[in-house]
Amino acid sequence: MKKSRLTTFTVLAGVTVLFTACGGGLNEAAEDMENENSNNEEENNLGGEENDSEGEVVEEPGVLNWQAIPPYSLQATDEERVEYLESAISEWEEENEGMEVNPMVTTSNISEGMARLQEQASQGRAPDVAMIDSYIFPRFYDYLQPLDPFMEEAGLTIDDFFPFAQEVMTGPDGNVYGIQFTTDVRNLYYNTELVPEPPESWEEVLEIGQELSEDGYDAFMFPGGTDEPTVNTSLWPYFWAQGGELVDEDGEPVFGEGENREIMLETLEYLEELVDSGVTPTRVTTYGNEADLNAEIAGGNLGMFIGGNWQVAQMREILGDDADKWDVAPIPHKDPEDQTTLAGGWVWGIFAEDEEKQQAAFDFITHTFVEDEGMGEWATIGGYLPTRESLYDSEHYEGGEFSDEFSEFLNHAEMRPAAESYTSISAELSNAVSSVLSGSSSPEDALDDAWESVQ
Amino acid sequence: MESRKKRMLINSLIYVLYAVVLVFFLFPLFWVLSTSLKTVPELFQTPIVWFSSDPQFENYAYIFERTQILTYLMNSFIIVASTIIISLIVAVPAAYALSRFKFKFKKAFMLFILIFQMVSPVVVAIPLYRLFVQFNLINMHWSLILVYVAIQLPFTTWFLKGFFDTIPQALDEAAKIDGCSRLQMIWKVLIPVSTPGIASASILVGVLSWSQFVIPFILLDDSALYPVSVGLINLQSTAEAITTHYLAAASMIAILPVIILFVALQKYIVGALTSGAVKE
Amino acid sequence: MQKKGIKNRGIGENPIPWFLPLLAVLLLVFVYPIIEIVRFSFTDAGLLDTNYSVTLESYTSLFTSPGFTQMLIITGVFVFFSVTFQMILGLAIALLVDQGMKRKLHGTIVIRTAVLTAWAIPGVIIGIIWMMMYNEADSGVLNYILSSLGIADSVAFLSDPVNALVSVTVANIWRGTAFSMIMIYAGLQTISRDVIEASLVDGANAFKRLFKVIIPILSPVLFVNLIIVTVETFNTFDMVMALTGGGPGRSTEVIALSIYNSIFNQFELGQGAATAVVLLLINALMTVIYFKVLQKNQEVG
Repeated sequence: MKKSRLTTFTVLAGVTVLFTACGGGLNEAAEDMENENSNNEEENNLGGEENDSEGEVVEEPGVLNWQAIPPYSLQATDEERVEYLESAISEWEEENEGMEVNPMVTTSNISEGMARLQEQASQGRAPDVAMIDSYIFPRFYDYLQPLDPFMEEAGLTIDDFFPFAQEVMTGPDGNVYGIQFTTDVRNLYYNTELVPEPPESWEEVLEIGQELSEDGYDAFMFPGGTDEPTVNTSLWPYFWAQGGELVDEDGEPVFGEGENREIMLETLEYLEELVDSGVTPTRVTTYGNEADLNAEIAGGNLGMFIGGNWQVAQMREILGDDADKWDVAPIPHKDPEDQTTLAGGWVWGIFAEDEEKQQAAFDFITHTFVEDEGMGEWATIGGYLPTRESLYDSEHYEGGEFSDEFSEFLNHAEMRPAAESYTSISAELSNAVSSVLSGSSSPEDALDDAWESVQ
Repeated sequence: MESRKKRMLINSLIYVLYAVVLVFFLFPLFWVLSTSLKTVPELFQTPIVWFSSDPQFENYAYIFERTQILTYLMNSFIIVASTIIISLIVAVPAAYALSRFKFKFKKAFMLFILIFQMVSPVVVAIPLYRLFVQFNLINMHWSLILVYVAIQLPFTTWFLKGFFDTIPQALDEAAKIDGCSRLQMIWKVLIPVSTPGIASASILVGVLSWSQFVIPFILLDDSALYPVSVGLINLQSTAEAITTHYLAAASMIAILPVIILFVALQKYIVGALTSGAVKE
Repeated sequence: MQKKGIKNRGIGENPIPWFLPLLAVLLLVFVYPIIEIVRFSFTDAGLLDTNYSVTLESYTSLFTSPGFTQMLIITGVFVFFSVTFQMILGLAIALLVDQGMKRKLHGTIVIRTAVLTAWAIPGVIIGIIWMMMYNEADSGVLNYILSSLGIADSVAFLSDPVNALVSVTVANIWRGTAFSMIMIYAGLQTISRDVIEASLVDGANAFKRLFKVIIPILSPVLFVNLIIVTVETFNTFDMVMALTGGGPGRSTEVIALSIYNSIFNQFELGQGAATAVVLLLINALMTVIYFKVLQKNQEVG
């Protein structure tokens, strides 16, 4: 870095000297050009030198390039996570003499990070092992390494994973291409001081909600912005519970046809009614993700909301002991019998071509995140839910508040479809939800527009 | 020429307007500063917390200790300084020629340059990434700087051309008579007279490059090379961690160098003309 | 000396060598990407697929999509008001600062720096800052101020489709005014004292002076400014993305944001490229219109 600054100044100084006297213009021009060239060359060298620095894919036999999103990386803001990861890395490095982990961090904007990973993979520049959001994971099958032999050797069976995780991890050819190591689930949170008994159906939500809003409370919220969390919390669970299908077997969108259309429409009408009856304030359209509700939770005026299990820890952080008055329940559906919810989570995928590196990457992630001890500890620290059912009885998983409830909710969880068309379906329908909530479209128009756009 | 009274009146009017401008432009910055010193509960507290009762300077310490912000700042500095210098080296001759030469299709040529300004950097980023991978130019500051320069060039050239237009041709003639070549004339006469324009162009290019995001985000995958704009984004709150106060603290740190650059450069904006260099 | 003089003249009088570095950089960086974008715009390529087919689908689906007209209108409103107010405010502040400097008032540097600082913050962070301020919950600072002053109670800054567009535009004006201010301020420095003094002697009042003397002299700067700011505003998306994500619904989704969303959220390179080509054409069209309309009054280019 110093060198490049020096170069810059030299060039500047050179140019200054060259131009100070009249006469001899040609030579000056020529020298000037040379100077510029040498400037480039030197900076070029500099680039080369910096290739050794950490953070970038390093193509060396002993180096394992491991990429995670910030909260799962050494840049996490939570001290405990960093300590866990640091000790896991140094332990692993001690056991595997001559190997080192090169920790890489991608951005906290998930879709941007996933877009870049796709670019990297398509150009053969992906890290050896990277963290991939479960709903985007199917796009990467072609670029990932099959893990079955490693799994067998390590004594891991895919049957131990939740069915929804198995689906994501298994590619179209039946091989295992990734290991889902955390999951999460959406549910109803309710303030027991305002809502002693949680609603179990749409009807009850409207009933309890109207009473609350008459008393001046904000009754019921959920993310309603134009983003993925909106459909995750407030559309897909309702739609699926009634038997709706987003895509057919070939991955083509079908949500706007026949019975699916009816179900979708009815769901959007429910959302409209929530706003019209004053149960849900329109400002939920400004909340792009679950954490945006934090200000409302802190305000103390909120009765119920739909959020994710990871919010328990945040509520503790914001509310302190006041968090005690919040409780969890399944998402209330049209039919009170239904408990359908949505699970997400993250998957490790191995891109490395070299077999030794594949083994090393597999060892590292299983050791740190997948084996009983690793998965248990990481899930406990981060407030995630283990993806292996046996973990819930393991001594290594202490769980946190409500972890029993969450694991029960997971039994009713579904995952987003592994279709390429999913991202545009999701984008169109989160727009539809947001339009309906803000009153700018009727449910019918919003649905028709979305359907037309994905066709 | 104004009477004292009138002068006082106008001055106070200007001060009132200053105040209005300050409130509009500084209030959001004040809010960032205030946020950067808050605890997590205070972020969401109602009624609003204007000043944290217990200012969290740890938020700043956290940024310095746990992120590579100094590296990011250094990277930004290198990238921005080089971009400014190279942009000027390339744009000044072109702007001069556009201002002083008469040739066919000049207007068309100017429009042609401008076309490149119209290409959105978002879309250029993806093909450039693939190109850079092919030629092994990825993760290097100098190739990134080249892209920055290219993005700034159309505007810089146009701006400087407009500025040179306002400088009387008579100066050129005088320099020619003194036996100066055109290059010397640019260096010895035009540039000193155009200091306000060049300083302004530097500021504009500098700030635009400082806040550039998509291009470096795509063209660098080595976090040790990130400029501050990309490095900062990792502090954005995710669904699972509240980091608004850290982001605010990091933003305050990132703004500082720009303020310094501006304060350093702005004295040149009121330069040559008031000192009587072009007295016709 | 003689020889050199002649050679110099040779280089000096031909404009082409003067443009070589410029052309080299522009072509080197832009030609390949532009060709690729145009090529992708006629395909259904995603970010990852290597086998995609040639199709006009991206264009047809763009033009027939129900939101396309709305998106054009939203973009138009956003650009028009952003550009107008950025330039008016920029001019006003530049004049104010210029007067302040001439009168040697205190605090002039503070004003200029304050305006500029707004612009130095990366767009995504500006979006986050304004989102915090516009927050409609009780902890939102703007609503808090408005209600404690008794002006309005809980304004739906971002959840009402029309308000959201206004809010986004205001944030964009806040961000971009510095650009116009600096350009215009630099332009003001080229106006020699004599011109102003002459008009003073003529007894022109301040407004007359502004419109009859200052603005005409500034017109080349204003013209360049107008074009650049227009193009830049058409291309901006980062702040909007962080502030509203285009919502509620699609009510703040400007074209540039839709390009970004296609590529970075839906990973549809073909669709994003097609939209980008359309945006490029709109930009070019606007510039040509500016040339035609404004050139009649003045010498440009």
